[in-house]
Amino acid sequence: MSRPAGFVLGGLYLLLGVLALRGTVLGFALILAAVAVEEELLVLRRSPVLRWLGAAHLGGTLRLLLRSALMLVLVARQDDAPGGLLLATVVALVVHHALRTAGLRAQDTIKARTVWPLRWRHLAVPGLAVPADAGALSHLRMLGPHVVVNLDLVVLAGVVLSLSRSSLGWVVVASALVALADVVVVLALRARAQALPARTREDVVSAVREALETVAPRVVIYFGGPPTSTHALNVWAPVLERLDVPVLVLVRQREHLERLASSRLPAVWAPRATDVEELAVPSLDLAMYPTNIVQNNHLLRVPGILDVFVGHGDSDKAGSYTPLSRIYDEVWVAGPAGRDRYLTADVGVRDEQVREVGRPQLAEIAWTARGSRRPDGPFTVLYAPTWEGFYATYSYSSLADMGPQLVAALLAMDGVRVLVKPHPASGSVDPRYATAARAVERLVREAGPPHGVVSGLTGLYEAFNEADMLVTDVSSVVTDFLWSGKPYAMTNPADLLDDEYRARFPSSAGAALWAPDLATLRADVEDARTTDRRRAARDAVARYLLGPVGGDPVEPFVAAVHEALARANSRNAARAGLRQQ
Amino acid sequence: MPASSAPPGSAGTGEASRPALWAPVLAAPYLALALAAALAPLLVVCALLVLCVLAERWAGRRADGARWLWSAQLMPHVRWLVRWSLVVTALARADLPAGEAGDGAGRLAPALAATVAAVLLTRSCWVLALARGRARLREQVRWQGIVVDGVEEGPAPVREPGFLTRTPTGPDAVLSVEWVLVAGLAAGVLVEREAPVWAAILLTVGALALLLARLLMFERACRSAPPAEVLPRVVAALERLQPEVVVYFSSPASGSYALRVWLDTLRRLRNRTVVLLREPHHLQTLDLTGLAVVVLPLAQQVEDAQVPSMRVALYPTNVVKNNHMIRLPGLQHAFIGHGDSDKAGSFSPVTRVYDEIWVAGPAGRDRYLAAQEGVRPEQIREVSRPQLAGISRRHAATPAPGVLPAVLYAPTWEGFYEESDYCSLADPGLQAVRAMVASGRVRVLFKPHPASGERREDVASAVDEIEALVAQPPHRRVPDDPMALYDAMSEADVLVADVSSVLSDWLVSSRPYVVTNPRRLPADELHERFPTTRGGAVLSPGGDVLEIVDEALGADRLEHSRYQLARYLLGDVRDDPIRDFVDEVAAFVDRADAARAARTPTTDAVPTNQEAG
Repeated sequence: MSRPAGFVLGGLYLLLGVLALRGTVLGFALILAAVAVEEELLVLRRSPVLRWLGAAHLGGTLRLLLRSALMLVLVARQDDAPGGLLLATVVALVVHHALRTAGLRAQDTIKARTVWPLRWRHLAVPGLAVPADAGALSHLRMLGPHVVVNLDLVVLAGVVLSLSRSSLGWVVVASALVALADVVVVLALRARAQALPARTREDVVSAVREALETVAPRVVIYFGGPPTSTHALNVWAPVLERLDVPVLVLVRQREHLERLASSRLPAVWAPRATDVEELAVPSLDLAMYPTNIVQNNHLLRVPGILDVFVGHGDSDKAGSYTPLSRIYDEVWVAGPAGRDRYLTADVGVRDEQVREVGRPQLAEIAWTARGSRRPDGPFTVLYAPTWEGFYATYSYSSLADMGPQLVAALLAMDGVRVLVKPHPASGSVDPRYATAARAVERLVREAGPPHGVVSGLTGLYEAFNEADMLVTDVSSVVTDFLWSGKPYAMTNPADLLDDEYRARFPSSAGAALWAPDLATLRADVEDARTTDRRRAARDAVARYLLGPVGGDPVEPFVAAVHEALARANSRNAARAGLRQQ
Repeated sequence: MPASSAPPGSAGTGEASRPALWAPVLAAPYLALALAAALAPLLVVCALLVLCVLAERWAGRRADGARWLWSAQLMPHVRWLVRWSLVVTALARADLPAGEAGDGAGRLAPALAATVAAVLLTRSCWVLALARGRARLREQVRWQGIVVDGVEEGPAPVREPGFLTRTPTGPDAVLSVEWVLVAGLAAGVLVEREAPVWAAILLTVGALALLLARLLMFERACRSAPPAEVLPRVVAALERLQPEVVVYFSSPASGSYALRVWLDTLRRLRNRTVVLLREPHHLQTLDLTGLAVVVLPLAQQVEDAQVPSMRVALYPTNVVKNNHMIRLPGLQHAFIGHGDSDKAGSFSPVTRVYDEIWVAGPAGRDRYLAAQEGVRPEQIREVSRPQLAGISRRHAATPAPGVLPAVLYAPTWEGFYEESDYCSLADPGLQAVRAMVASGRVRVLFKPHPASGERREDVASAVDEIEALVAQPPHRRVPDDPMALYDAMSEADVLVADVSSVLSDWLVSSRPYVVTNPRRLPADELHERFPTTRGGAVLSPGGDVLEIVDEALGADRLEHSRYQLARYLLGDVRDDPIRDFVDEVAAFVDRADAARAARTPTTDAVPTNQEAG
């Protein structure tokens, strides 16, 4: 898509050069118009060609100057031009480019005074209010620059008329009009630029800091990572909204600010390490880290804050117990399983560093009392496979190798309703998984109602509540679903021996295991809808992974936050005491 | 307006800079050239072009103008296009006076236009090749002092291309072909023939062809040792070497000194050791002979290069990239630092991630524990400071006629952050050096931190002025090399320094010192917050440095408190601190072995830092 656009633009400029050197006036005018249109189209489409040209140092200004240079060559080539036409064109273009440069600089100033190096949501930063650009001139400021870059076409029109009528007057009039238009746009832009106060980066950062000091957050949740990973932050948003102490969300990439799923938590995007240091206001006592990224160190190294790794899903996956966890003061896990996982992995995390806080995100999942299932309706089975992961050690996904067959087998059962929800990142590393996700979704759509495809994160928990049974891979989805008390099956795409599988992945203790041949699928679903012989094992593993089940899962978490704040306070007091000595 | 390539540092609140006062000097020849292109004979155009190039040369030496021109998107090659387009226009003019360059307008103008385009496009090729090549080189796996496929060092370093020179130049160098072109044009006009112009064009095309060939070679060279092929061979070599100790280091080039202070000690280690660097620039800035060194720029490469023999990892700095090594299970990790001081960096909360934290003496222990940031007493070990083996222990010289006592002024830098800025250079350092130099009573040895002036402009100008002041004998600028600093410490009678590891190192010498106090803290608070200052006199802005130095060289009332402090900071006096350190490392390897033996083997996969939820 972008490559042809690049060739078209290059070809047009080449043609423009040939026509200029041959002195072909009308052809040149035609092609210059085409160049102008193509350039505008590239800008409108935000084409990667523009970025590529910039990287090759063939930027917009250079190309505009090239257009004008070729116009001069064209005029120089005219034998029968009226006297002084070349001089008039030179003067017109010099004035035009000088004024365009002035406009460009005013635009830069406006941008520097309105687009801040930090961004925020749900936070009043009084010092940085930008007066709205209103009035008749605002439209001029918006469209003017686009008109200005193409005013060389008007100069060319004057040249063409002067040549055909053998009179210098036309080009003079055209040049005067162009200069007038340039001046009007420059003045409009400068008026706006001067109306805006100049601010340095430091001004902006300290204004945001002051705003934060007013909010006085005691807890900060700190997040960074690739733009597609915001879900790991968003699982915490509803929980943090229920905390009764002020909370700050600090993100390191702008996308996370835009995608944060909260309508009221104060959030700031701080791109630089120094911003993080500056925004770590003294009221902060507790920092929560949902992921293990190296950027965490930028807040970790700020003294006086209790640092807690909270994760974003509790699972048997390898990433849940890295030796890096020692970098935090504490590691919060859901239940005894999380503690055991860290201690058996023996990565240096000490028993007293680990705290069990339950899984507060599960508040949305309904705990199903025994026998409460509607006996008359269809038995709903939810298939929610994980994605392929960044590294080979993480390939737990059944989607590519088992997904389509598994869904087809479920659809073939009588009285079974199938819901599918592939992980949103499926296929982002390995295209096979994207294909499989599409295949699975197609199967379900073709089967028609009551079967269906579920999307979005809240969609998952809603689907949990809708489902009577879950089929999934080794992932945090298992742990979350255990909260519901309902039966589940786990896939075994590598065809490990059952005993080995259950030893490696304790969350599977209450699960039916499905190998790639799916031999037990039918019998396991039948058992789940009738006898449910795995119920006792399931309840035990739920308590092991999640702690006590059945109450409001947010309450133990809120209590844990308050205890942590108290610990942070006493530590700070102890430090102050030692300083006094 | 479509944005052109962004000026450097334009992101965020970059207020537009103003054109310099000399801007008309650059603009005037261009205006004249534009008018001449429409009106004047070709020879005049040539002359004005030369004038433009000379004005460019003159303006290019002035730093204040470049930023304005960049932000106006008028980079040097854009201006080059402007002036040569005008020459092409002049050449294309149909009304050339008869006789001038013959009837060249027929074929010369297109040929020159094509040449101008070729120069700019070749420059673009250069820009792209350089960006691509550098990106590849940044990920290159390198080794040194370890035999990989029979070679002790590799891959061969890649030299960046230059234009007709062996030394690398920036892509703008190609624009200098304009001298050939303008000479050819002028000669053509003067002899009224086309031949010189054609010769110039041919020469230019030849030079461009040479450059393109050189660029191709550069591309090939950058591709020649892909990390995917080199890494397995380096890992195989590591498996043969069986290192037990990994010295892990990452920093910008200006921070290489933090590893340099350890090199002598590392060469004496009994355990097999590999130095793992994350950036290739340390190979240029450090003399690593006698050590096995690998450069692994990517986190994944660090993970892949972990061989089973590795027992312990030692970290001289507390940088974010350390995480890439710490997350590897099966090793014991120790933070060894690169200087023991009261600076905030010496008790970063992040330090708790290491299995052990090695400090010089009881002071370091107290500092970590007082910080209450999760560091536990059992993590800390006192190992003295092996780098100090070379500092002589003697009393300050008693003033004698003809011998000037030496005062070493060794300030730190201003730090990445305001919070860690203890730099005295701007104030009171500059004043103090002025006073000492003017007095003629002492000789000043000046050793700023290599990074001084990187963040603050006033610090940079203070460094410049002091360097000018000490350029005259008997004063001296000490070279940027920690070993030179230790030599200067041996030579000096009194030290003037900021809160930094220099103070605790100096205590080995048992001679008097002066602590700067640029933030004008009350003396009590200064001594309380920074224990290393307790054995020195305090110099605040406006203080009289000569009076303080005279007292230190004379009565020296602080001698006893200095001795007490040295014991506290550096531990007991040791005969050979390096040997003690070598023993410490061996003992650490043994502890790691024991820990590994005690560990229940797990079958689980290797964790990585990216949790895939």
